[in-house]
Amino acid sequence: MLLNTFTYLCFLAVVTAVHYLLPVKYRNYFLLAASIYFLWTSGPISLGIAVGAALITFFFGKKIASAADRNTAKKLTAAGIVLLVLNLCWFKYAHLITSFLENPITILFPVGLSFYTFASVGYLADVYKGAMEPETDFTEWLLSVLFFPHILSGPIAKSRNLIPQLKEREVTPEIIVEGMRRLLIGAMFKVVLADGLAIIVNGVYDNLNSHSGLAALTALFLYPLQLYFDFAGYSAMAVGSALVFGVRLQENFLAPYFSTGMGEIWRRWHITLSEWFRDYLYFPLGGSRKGESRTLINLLIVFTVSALWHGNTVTNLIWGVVIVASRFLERFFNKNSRGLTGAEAFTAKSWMKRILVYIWWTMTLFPFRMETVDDMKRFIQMVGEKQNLGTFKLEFLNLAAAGVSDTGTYYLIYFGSIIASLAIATWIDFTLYRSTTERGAVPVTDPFEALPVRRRWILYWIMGLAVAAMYIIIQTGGGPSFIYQGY
Amino acid sequence: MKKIVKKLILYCLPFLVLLGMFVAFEPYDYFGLRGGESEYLCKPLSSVRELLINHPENIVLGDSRMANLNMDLAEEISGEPYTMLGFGGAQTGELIELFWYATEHTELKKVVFGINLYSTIDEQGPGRIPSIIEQAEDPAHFILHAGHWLGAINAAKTKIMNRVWTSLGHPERMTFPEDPTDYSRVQNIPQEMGEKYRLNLEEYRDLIRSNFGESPVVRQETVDKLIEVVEYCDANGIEIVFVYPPIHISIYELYEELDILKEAEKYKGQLREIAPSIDFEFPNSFTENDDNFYDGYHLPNTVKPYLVELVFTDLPAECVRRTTP
Repeated sequence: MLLNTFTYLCFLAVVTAVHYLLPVKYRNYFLLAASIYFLWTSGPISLGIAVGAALITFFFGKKIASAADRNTAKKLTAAGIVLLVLNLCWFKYAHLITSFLENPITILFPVGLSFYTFASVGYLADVYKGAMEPETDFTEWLLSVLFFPHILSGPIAKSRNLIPQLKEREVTPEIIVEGMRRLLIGAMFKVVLADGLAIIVNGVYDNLNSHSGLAALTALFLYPLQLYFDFAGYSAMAVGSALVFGVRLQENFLAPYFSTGMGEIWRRWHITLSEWFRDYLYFPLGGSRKGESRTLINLLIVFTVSALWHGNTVTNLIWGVVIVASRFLERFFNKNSRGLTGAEAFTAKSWMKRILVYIWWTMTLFPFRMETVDDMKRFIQMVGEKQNLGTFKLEFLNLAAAGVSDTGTYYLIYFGSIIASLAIATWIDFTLYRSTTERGAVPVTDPFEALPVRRRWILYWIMGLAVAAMYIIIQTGGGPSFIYQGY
Repeated sequence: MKKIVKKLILYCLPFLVLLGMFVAFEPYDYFGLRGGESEYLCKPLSSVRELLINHPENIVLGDSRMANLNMDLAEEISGEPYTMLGFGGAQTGELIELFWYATEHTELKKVVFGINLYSTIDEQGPGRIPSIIEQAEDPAHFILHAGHWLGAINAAKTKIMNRVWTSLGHPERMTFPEDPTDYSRVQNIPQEMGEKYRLNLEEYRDLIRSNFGESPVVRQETVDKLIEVVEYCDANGIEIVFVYPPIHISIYELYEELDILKEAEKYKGQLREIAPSIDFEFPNSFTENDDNFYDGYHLPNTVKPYLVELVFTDLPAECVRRTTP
C-alpha cells in the first residue's frame, strides 16, 4: 500500500477515526494491529522479516543492557548489528553475488528493510553507549519498528525519540491539523510535482533512442526536481500521517535546493540517513578529529557505503565516486559546508552560487539515474546532437501528453497544476530555508500557520485540485512508484 | 475533533461540486441521468455499457465500417433488434474479446461479425478491452479516467456557451467535438461540395499504403480464435455470420499491389467452411463508384442504408457474395 494512493487515504481515515474512538490504553495496540495489516498488504514475507528483525533487536537490546561487563556488551552489540546488517546485505546483494551462477538467486526485497535495519542498528548502538535504556515492552518496541507512517521509506527514526512519544503523547487539534496539512503538502509534492514531471523525464529516459538532444537535456535538469519532490513528498506524507496520531517524526529535508554548496545539500537532503551515517559510521571511525587525511578517508568510506546502499550497479558506483570527488573538491576550496547565514544568504552572489550548485548537483545525479554505462554513453551522444527548437516543442508536448490527451484543455490542466504547485512548493521551501539561515531559530516547516485563514484555504483548494487532477492523469496513463521504495 | 471533521467536510465541498459537474456532463451518460443517451455513438465503452445494461440477444461486431450502421434500420428491415457492440478502430482481437465478454453477460442468439483481414498492426490480443471493461463495470475506474473528465469539460463548455449564445438571440455556435472515427456525423455529401467533404480517394490510398508494415494481414492465430468463436456458437445454437464490408476499388488495387489478397483469401476460405459469410470485398460497379465512398473504407450516410439492407436481408445484389458452409 503506497502512501500516495486513494486506498491509503481511506486506510488512514479509518485508522484515525478508530484510534480516537478507543480509550487511550488500547490505542497503541490498535496502531500495532493497523501497522501489521499495512505491512501485510505488501506481502507476508515483508511482515515476517520485519517481525524477525524486531525480535532479534529486542533480544539483543536487553542482553546488551544486562551484560556483565563492557567487553561482553560490546560483543553482543557487534553480534546484533552484524546479524541485522547481514540480513540487509543478503536481500540486497544475493542476486549480484550469485550472478555468475547459471541460476542466480532472485529474492524479493522486503518492504522497508533498509529503514528499520538502520533504526534497529542505531537502537543497539544507543543502548550500548548508554544513550537510552533498552525497551522492555515488546509490543511498544514492535510498534516503533512497524509504525506504518514511516516503515516504507523512513524517515529513519531514532528509537530514543520515537518510543517515548509512542508511550505518551499529547495530541491537540492543532497538531492533527498540522498533520493533515503535511499530508496535503506531501501529496502535492509527490503526485503533482514528482509524478507529473516523471511523465516527461521518464518518457525520455525510458526511450533514449527516440528523443532529441534537447529533450535529453530537459530530462537531465528536471530529474533532480522529480527526485526531490518524490522523496520529500513521501517524507512529508509520512510525517503528516504520524502527526495525526500525535507522533512527531524527524524532518528529512530542509529545502536542499536553496543550498549554496554541495556539503550544504547533503546536510539538508535525506537528513535522517545522513545523520545515521554520521552518528553510527563517521563518528565511530573518528570523524574529523584525526587530521585532514583521516577525515577524507572517513568521508570516502561513508560515501562508498552510501553509494553501495543506493544500488549495486556500476553506475551507482560511478555516482558514489562522483559524489566523493565533489565533496573533496569543495572541502579543498571551502571548508564551510554549513551554508550561508543572515543577510549573506540572500545576496546576488549567493543566488549565482545556488544556480551553479543546482547544475553541479544535476551532473552528479546523472549516473545515479542511468541503468548502465552504455546508457550513459548514449545519453551523452544524444545531448551532443543538434536540435531544431521547433521540433523540440512538438516533442515536449508529445511527452507531456503521455498517451492521455493532446488537447488544449489537457495541457492547461497538466501544466497549470505543475506551475501552481511549483510556485507553492518554492514558497514553502524558501520560507523553511530562510528560517534556517537565522542562527538558533527553529526551522519553519509549516508556513501555512502564519497565513490569514482565507489565503490559507485558497491555497489548500488549489493544492487539492492540482493533486486530484494529476492523480487522475497518472491513473489514466499509468504512474511511477516511489523512487526510494526499493531501497 | 468535531471542528476538524466540519472543516474537512467544508474542504471537500468544491470537489463534490466538481464531481457533480462531471456526472452531469460526461458524454457517455454513464450514470443514466440523461436516459442513457451517450454523446459518443461508436466508442467501445458505450458498447460495453449497452451490453451490461440491456443484455441484447443479437449483436453486431466490427470496426467503424460496421459500427456506423443504423441499428434501428436493421431492426426495421430484419424484424429483430440488434445491438451494436462494434466501435471505430476496433481490432479483430478486441472484437473477439468483446464476443467472449458478451457470452458471459447475455444469452446470445445472433452474431453479425464484421471482419477486417487487412490489419496494419499485430492485433491478436485483447487490446483496449480489459481497460474498457474495467471502466464499464466499475464507476471508480470510469471517474478516474482523464479522458472522460476532458470530455465532460468540453461538453459543459459547449452546452453552457451555446445556452449563453441562444439566450442572446444568436444561433448555437459550438458543436460537440467530433469523434473523427464517427462517420455517422458526416451528413449527406452535397455534390457541389465535391472534394471538400469527401476525402481524396487517391491521397487516402497513399496514406493507407504508408501505414502498412511488413505484415499487413491478420495472423493465422487470430483466424484460429475466430474458429473457436464459431465452434462456441455452433455448440450453443448461436447463429453467426461473417461480414467483409465493402472497400473502394483503389484500396482493392492497393491490396493487389501489396500482394496480400491471396493470404486473405486463404483465411476467408477457412472461415467460409465453418460459417456463413457476406463478402463485399471484390471489384464491382458498387466499389468502382466514387460516390459510394467517403474514403477508401467508409460509406456516406446516403449509402449506408443500402449496406444495412444487404447485411440484414437476403437481397441479391451484384456487389455481394453470400456463402454458407
